[in-house]
Amino acid sequence: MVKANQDLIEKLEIQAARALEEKANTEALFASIGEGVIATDTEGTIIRINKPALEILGYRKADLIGHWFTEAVVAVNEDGSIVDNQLRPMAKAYLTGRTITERVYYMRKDGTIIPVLANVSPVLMRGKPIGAILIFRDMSEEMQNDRLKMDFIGIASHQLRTPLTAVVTYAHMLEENFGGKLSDIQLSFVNVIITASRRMNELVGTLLNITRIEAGNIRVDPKLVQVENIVTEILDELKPEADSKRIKLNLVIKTELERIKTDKLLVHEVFSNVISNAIKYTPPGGKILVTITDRFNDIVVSVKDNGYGIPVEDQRFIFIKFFRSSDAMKHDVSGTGLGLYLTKILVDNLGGEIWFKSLKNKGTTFFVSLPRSGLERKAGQFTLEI
Amino acid sequence: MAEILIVEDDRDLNNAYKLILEADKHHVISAFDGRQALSKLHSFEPDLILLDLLMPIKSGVEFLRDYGVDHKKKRAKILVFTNLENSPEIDEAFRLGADKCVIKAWTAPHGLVKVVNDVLQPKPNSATS
Repeated sequence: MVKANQDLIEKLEIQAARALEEKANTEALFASIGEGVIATDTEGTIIRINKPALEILGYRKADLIGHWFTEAVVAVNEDGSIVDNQLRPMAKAYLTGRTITERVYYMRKDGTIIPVLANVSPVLMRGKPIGAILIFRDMSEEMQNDRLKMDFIGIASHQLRTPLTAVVTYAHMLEENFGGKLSDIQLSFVNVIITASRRMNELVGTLLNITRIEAGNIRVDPKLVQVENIVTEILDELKPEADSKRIKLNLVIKTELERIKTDKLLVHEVFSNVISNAIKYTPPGGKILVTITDRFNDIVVSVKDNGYGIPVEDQRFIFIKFFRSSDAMKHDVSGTGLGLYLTKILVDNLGGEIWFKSLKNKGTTFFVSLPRSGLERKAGQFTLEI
Repeated sequence: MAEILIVEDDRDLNNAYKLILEADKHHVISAFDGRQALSKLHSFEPDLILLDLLMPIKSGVEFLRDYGVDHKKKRAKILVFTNLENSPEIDEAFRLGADKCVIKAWTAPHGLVKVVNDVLQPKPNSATS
């Protein structure tokens, strides 16, 4: 009996020592994380906070521990207004049970506002949330760098466009016989200058858009729109291009028409890129079928062509910046390797997905889904350059 | 024939627009920034001002602000000619009385002549972007 008790005491002592060691390890791990970390309980009360978090927010530990997180650490919008508690990443993570990553602005103890990238994960025990962990880092320096990069790109693109405009204008003047009548061969040379300059101008616009989107600086302004109307508008715009290659463009609608809350400008750019790509990569006399359908909670637009197709070995690279398929170059299709990359990041901004299936020499079908539930407005300094 | 003031800082473009509009029998005077444009307006009363937005010394928007205050005699039609797209400067230019805005990189000579003559027509609601 005495022996059994002694064994039990020894076991308990070992377990207690292990628990202490584990606690010390956890504390050390928590303290040594380079980013700010705040842990809350089920009520949203701060139960743990590490040193980087205190440094970023300018508080002492005693100011925050035991306080309700949403009251102690004030989140504000870009314009300085207070963010509604329900819209904060902490509340979203808790309500959805998912990890939420968002750029937010926190007010420091001294009243200054700092941008942070916040990642909040609910802590689950047997499927039920028992608290949340917020990991965040100060984005001030990165945002300052982004601003400088934006300014530079903005100025550079304007500086590039001004001489290009002069090139295009004078080329058009030659084309319209301002410098005397041109021979057919001279006229064909002038047309090459105009086409190449326009391509260069588009490239400048695309680079500008990519830089702005990558920096999270593009405005998303959702309004109620009918996707069918946008697609029809694009098909009308691209008809002359398709006609010049005797390509037939058809539209089929297999869903009930409904309006969704999304950003018209971004959606227009996405489908314009996908359909114009289909025209580029389809030989003369081909067919392009655009279908609008639905899938669960999404509207899905597919663009099917009977063109060159994408070689299997290239398929996993096509959304990568500057990638150009060996086949695209073989067929002498002009391009920059930026179109599908831009399309992909635009679709991401629209909360949708893009995918495709393709068979070499049979054709390609691109699919783009857009959420019916709509989008939240996102503030940004810029809109898209078309 | 109309009296036209071109306000464009790029000399090549300014000259091109002058040649194109003169060929369409308009009387054209050039200015290379907003401040110079305001000073030309002391002795010249144009029917139309072809206005670039991004210019040194005084931008197109700054020009429009001062033009609204200073020039009460005869108000010219304002045709904004810019490479800016979807920009707050364009909204501001319309707020300050611009009649039409055209992207200059895409406008061929016959297009410029057409848009200038359209804006000169005394039509209501001709302001579109």
